[in-house]
Amino acid sequence: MKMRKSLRIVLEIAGNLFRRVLTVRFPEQSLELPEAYRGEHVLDTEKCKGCGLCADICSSKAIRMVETAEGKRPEIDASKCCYCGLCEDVCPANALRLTRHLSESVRDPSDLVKRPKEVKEKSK
Amino acid sequence: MNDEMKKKIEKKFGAKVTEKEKGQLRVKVGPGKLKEVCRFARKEGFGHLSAISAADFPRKGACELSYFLYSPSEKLVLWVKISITRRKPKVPSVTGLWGGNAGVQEREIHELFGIDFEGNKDLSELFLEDWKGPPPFRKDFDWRKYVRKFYDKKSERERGYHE
Amino acid sequence: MNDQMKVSRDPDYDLYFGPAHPGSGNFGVKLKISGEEVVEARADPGYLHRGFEKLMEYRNPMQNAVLSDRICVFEPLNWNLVHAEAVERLTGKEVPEKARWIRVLMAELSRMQSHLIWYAGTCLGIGFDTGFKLALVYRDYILDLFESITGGRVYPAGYIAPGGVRRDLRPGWEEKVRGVMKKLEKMIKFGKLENPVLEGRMKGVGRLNLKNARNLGATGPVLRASGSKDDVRRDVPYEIYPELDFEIPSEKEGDALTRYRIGMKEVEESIFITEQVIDRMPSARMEPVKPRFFPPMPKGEVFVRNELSRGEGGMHMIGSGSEHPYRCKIRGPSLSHQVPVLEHLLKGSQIADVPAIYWSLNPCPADTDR
Repeated sequence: MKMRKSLRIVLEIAGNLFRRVLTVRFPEQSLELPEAYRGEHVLDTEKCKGCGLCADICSSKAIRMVETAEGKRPEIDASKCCYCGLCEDVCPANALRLTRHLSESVRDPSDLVKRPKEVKEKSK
Repeated sequence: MNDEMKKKIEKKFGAKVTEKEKGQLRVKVGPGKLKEVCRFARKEGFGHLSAISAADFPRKGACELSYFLYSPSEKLVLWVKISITRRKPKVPSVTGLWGGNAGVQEREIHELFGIDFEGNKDLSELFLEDWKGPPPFRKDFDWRKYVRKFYDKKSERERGYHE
Repeated sequence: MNDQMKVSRDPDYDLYFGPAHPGSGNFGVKLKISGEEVVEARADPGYLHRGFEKLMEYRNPMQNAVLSDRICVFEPLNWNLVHAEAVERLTGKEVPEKARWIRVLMAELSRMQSHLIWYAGTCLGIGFDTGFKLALVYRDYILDLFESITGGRVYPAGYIAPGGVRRDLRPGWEEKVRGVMKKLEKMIKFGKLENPVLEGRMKGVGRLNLKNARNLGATGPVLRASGSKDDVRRDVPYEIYPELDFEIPSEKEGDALTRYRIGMKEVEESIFITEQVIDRMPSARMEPVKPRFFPPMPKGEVFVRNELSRGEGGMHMIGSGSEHPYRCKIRGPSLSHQVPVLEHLLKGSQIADVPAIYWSLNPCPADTDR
């Protein structure tokens, strides 16, 4: 009996040499995040009207409206944001969206207060 | 069964009992009758005290206490509401009827609202430590002023309070 | 061993089973000890007091839904449901049919992962490392499901909001959920084995009889292990529980091993409920809830009771004509478990039994302090 048990253990260890590893080598590879993931913001500047509803509803008061050449646009403090997605849901023009991109690390905390990346989407 | 219980309470205490939601009876009594109503309810099978809740109404000058009692055999909730004055509020304790469960809930309300429960031998502090200010959950406690005075934003520490 | 034990010695020294200890979470218990026997125990809550009841008075219902995940870290979706039900009963809002089925699905998944944390915590406190690691691995499969449905592994950001749910289910969800249920059945088979380590440490320890349990305010699995059959899902049903078929496990001995066994049986019942929900969920598309318009809350009060994984959770909400609630009282199941029941059970026990008794009550320090 003892011989068979140790044989089974040796076979299992040998088999593990050929099994697929569960970890991934980050940052060259990465896990695929699901579509529903709530990551960084992007803003479509053609649709944004500067109404300020996103700044009103933010639960952490992380959004501030700033003046630009095209009108008022939101500026988001990523260190306060809790990524709840209420700003995306309330926008009447569907201009602010949360993507699957994770926030990048920075060395200076004031670099986290920035305007979201701008995209121009073709209307369908 | 709900109607029977309703009629019993109305007859015995002369107070109006409403049933706005299915399975919940609400009754409002004067503060002097609280002990009687609770003793009657305990005898009728309301053996579980779900919660004691307090609300502060500074404009009316009153504090309202709600006792939520549940009867496991009848599957019925009895909601007893009383209204007491805000200045030096005093209420008889129900620890004789519902034991340690009532004790800890009264302890919490004493600490956060400043209501005194006569008959509860253990009203020591529960959540706050060495707190000497006014009861914090009352509507006239200015928490913005407290934060500005005692919270140092740069080093993100509470200073001055322990010094 | 505890209901009849008489303590006859004077205490020699104090021991603080403390708040920064991996065996106790964020909760402290002050023990007075004589030799190996605990003479008196005094619970010390308050390390996680964040003032939720006051915070909720300054926010509108959608922001409160995002805030209500954080009342108890171990079961955010169940607390979302309590808050959403309170607002709906106060304002009279209607909920679409498919949203009710989705809510029950998420609540049962959340109950299962909370019981797995209970199992992991018990094994950690006793020193049974295999059980701790296995339970957290199987919990990870459920968290991946949450990420694909709501967007977050632990905090779903108010997924169950007043009026329905914030997103619809994407196609392909059925196979994923069924796959996870099959894996969990393996975990339950492991958990129900007769384990000499757990039996040696937990059998006969921390006995609670029915009269004391009711007097000290125990609810949920702690009460059902002492001989009662109370469960809010069966007694005063809410959502679509009247249409589902499930049993309420209940036993009589009332010691720590019985509470652990009831936990395992409840996970089995939850798997059975989830399979029924998958089979019967309506397949029409549903309009999700968007935070577009907030009518003021009418004057009135409401009291809601739900069955959480730890016991009975409740919320008393008073509306006063503005869009913020006037007062929002939260009734957590753990306040009665951690202060009166724990102090009663620890008196007269041995030091080595303290972690076993503490974890068998399924403590949640966040729920105690709010």
